[in-house]
Amino acid sequence: MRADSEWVALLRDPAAIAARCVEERDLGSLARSSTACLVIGACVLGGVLGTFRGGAQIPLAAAKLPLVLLATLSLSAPAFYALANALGTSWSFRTVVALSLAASARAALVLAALAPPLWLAMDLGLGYHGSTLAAVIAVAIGGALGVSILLRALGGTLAGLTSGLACGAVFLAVLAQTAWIARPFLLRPRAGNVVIVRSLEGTFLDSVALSLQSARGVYAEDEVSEAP
Amino acid sequence: MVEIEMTTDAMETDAGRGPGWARRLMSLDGDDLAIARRLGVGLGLSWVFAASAAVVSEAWAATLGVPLMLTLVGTLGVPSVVIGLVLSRSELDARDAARAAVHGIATSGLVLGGLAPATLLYVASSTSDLIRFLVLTASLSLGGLVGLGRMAHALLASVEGGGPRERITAYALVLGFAAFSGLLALRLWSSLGPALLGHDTLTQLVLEGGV
Repeated sequence: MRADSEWVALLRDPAAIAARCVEERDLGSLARSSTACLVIGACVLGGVLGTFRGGAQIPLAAAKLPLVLLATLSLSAPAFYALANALGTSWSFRTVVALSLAASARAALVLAALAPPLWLAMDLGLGYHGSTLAAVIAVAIGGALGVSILLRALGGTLAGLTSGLACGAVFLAVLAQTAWIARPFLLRPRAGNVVIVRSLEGTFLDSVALSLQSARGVYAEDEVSEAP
Repeated sequence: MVEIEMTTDAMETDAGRGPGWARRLMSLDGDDLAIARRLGVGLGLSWVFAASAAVVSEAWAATLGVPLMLTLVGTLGVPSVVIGLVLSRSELDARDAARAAVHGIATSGLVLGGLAPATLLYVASSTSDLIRFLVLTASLSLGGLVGLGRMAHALLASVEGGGPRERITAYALVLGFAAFSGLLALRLWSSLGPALLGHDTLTQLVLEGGV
């Protein structure tokens, strides 16, 4: 299959892609095409997120987002392999990696398609929190369409669904943390300097716990001192 | 829709090759040496998970507690289940039960080993021991539940051809075993978890390791 038609197959025929991964047919070509789609799609979305601040933040965010996705896949693949086999499939590591790449590539292509309306919304004055929410919704749509490849490969059995849920939970947890480490992508226009990555300030879960405390009216000392 | 065999007997991949490494690790077949080797690999993988949890605290001695805990949780209740199943005239013998226990431990070890890189990411980047503890607990719960499920499946396979009374007894025994193993795991983890993160007790971890 030619590379230029593989991205079409990724979008149009997830069942055929899933079958190809499970049967280990021509995986080298599929992996190359999937990686290219993943990098391009994530670059486009990253670049669009960078336009909120503009300037050097555009190429920086465009470079960081594909790296975040690739790092997430690298850290999650051993868990996918272990969980898929422990919950009933007999997939090889090659199959697991090919399926993960194909699912991520499909999601990235959808994200690339959603990037222009997102950019237009930001250009028309969508605020920081609104843009963040819109980006999260775009990622959720892309993720849901990407994961359909995995679900087709797993089949409609209870074991398949359990396996899909477990792998999805691991992927989301790792993606949240790698994205948290590599932030910011969406930088406020008033921010003085462009930041490559922020200093390590705990995990994504630390931030969620801190936000929950703040919502209850309990503020950390540094939060109070930073208030205008 | 891709059809995939989802049973423990599915030892051939769709590509027509032999069983993969993970499937061989979880196999119920083989001689005693093969079973012992699988137990060793499963426990070794669980140690890798423990080591990823201890990279910040450097509590290396405590890392040996995770394979030990897995062994205790996977084996301590098995004799009771065997006696109960034999009483209910099941075809299961002690050797089958030991194989099922190793099957469960190896599966848990495989899942924990697979989760080790993701766990390391959280442990190394978190500033709170409480968050680390919660992430470790979630990973261990996932590994433990999957292993327990596979072990229960292997034990229940021995009564598939039996009558309704025999099967109900077997399900009740396996359910009791699962409850016992869960409680034992909670008891052990409440001591081992804090030790793995460099704390003496769970109370100390909660008080000192908050966000």
